[in-house]
Amino acid sequence: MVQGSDAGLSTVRKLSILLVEDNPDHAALLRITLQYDQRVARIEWVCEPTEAFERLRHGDFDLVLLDLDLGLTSGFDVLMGVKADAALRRTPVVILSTSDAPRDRRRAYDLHANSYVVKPVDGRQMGARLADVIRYWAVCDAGAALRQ
Amino acid sequence: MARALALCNAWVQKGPERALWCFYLMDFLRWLFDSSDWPQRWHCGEWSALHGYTHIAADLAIAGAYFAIPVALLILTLRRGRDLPFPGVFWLFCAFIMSCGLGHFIDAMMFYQPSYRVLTGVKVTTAAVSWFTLIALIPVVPRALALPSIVRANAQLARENEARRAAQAALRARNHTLRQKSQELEQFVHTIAHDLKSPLVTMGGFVAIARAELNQGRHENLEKNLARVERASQRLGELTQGLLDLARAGRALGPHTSVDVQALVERLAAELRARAAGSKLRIEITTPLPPVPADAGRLGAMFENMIVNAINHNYPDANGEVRIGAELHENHVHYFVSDDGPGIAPEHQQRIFGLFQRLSRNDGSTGVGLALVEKVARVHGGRVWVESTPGKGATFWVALPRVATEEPEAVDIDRSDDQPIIEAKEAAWSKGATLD
Repeated sequence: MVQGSDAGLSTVRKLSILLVEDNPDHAALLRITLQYDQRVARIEWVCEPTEAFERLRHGDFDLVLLDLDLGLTSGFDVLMGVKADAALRRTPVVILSTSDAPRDRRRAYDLHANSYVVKPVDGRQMGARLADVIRYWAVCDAGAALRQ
Repeated sequence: MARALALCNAWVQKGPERALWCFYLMDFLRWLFDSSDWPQRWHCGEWSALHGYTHIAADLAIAGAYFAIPVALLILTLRRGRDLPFPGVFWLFCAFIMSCGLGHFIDAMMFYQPSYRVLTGVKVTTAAVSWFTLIALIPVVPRALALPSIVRANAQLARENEARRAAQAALRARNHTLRQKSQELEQFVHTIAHDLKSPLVTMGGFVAIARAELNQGRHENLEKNLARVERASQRLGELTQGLLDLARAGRALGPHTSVDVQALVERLAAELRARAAGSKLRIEITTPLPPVPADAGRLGAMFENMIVNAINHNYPDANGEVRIGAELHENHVHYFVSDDGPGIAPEHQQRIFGLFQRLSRNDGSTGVGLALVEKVARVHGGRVWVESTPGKGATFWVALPRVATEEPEAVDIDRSDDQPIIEAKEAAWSKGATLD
């Protein structure tokens, strides 16, 4: 047995994902794209920041996919709230945004986003890009052990 | 005095030739001041007492004045701490006027002590000094005339200072406008990049899904997915149209005329009532609407967007009412449009006027209307705000100046040749370019 104590970290986990997205078409698109992904246990979809906090406190999520454009409230507020909460801040938050403006990316990382992924306009790239995100957090991220 | 005499005596005692020089000098002075060859002027001709004393008094007065003039000039110049302009000519002039004064003084003395040799000596000196002064003046006069008077120079300086201050203020105002425009532009580019891409992501995504499903021979979701693509493309069309409207609203204004707001809003209300026929919604004008100087077309677009916004945000089934009115203030007319809708929370009241900002995705608006209202108000020198208690409707206010103002917004920066403005503009563009 070579793996020893590393065995737990290299096992494929199935992720519970919270999707915070107020555009129903984008939410549907992301869920359809991820529906056959073997590494996804479940996706829960919420529109509202308050709802997002409610679910995060009570559900057990491995990953948050967060849109920045949530009507009048901004996804940044959700990000700030998650990272300010000692119980939530180790849950990785991946920003999923249509914006690739430097100031949005900068602000997201300043607020301790774990990653920033731009929603591709080319639909054929969406599947590959999301699969990479899921694979990374499901397979590569050793930090997951901290949240056990 | 006794000391001076003693010194003199000591000097003379030093040698016999010195005594001789002294003797010659005394002899010359005695000769110079000797008046034995002439009668006193009183006895030269027939002087009446009045004529004689008047003559004496006039001469003494002239002499006094002539002595005082250079003294006064010197004191005034020195007290002001100014350098003398043309010092050579100044001192020559002093000597000239002093010797003129001395001449008049001795003339007066002639009535008692007719030392005509002294008078002749003084007159010869005066003549010489006068001519020297004249000769010295010739090259100086043109330069002296070229010296602007202090008063004129000060006035000129004050005018220039005033002009400079005004130019600086104008420049500051323009720079402020430009900074604002540059921020606005950045926000605009950011918003477009974000919001116009959103329907494109939907379209691209669902077209890819539809194609993948077709390849698998599955048709059951096709209709639903195509409907999503269709909706997204409609949304994109609305956004594009809204952007065009907004761009038009911000362009240079047409001439300001006194717009009959009452007639304008009545016409709009009738149109919108017809469009909303069948619903229970009422549109009421609750107070007279005073006229205001404005670009009539823009003002119409502004009121239309305000009223449409109020209609869209009334609860669709309740007996909602849209109320339109105005308040007359000292410098502004405050127009309002209020609705009975859900209202806006205080923390969103500022952002609601931003481009593409919507309360919710399903409120039927593009998020351009209120941005357009804000823009039209601003280019007219006015402002907008909203008063609302969540759950109790919202009142949107527009304050427009009662007298047309020249709004910095209307400055055409493309035609400006001011250097700082061009620099600021380039900075704005390069900032915009880094957004890619």
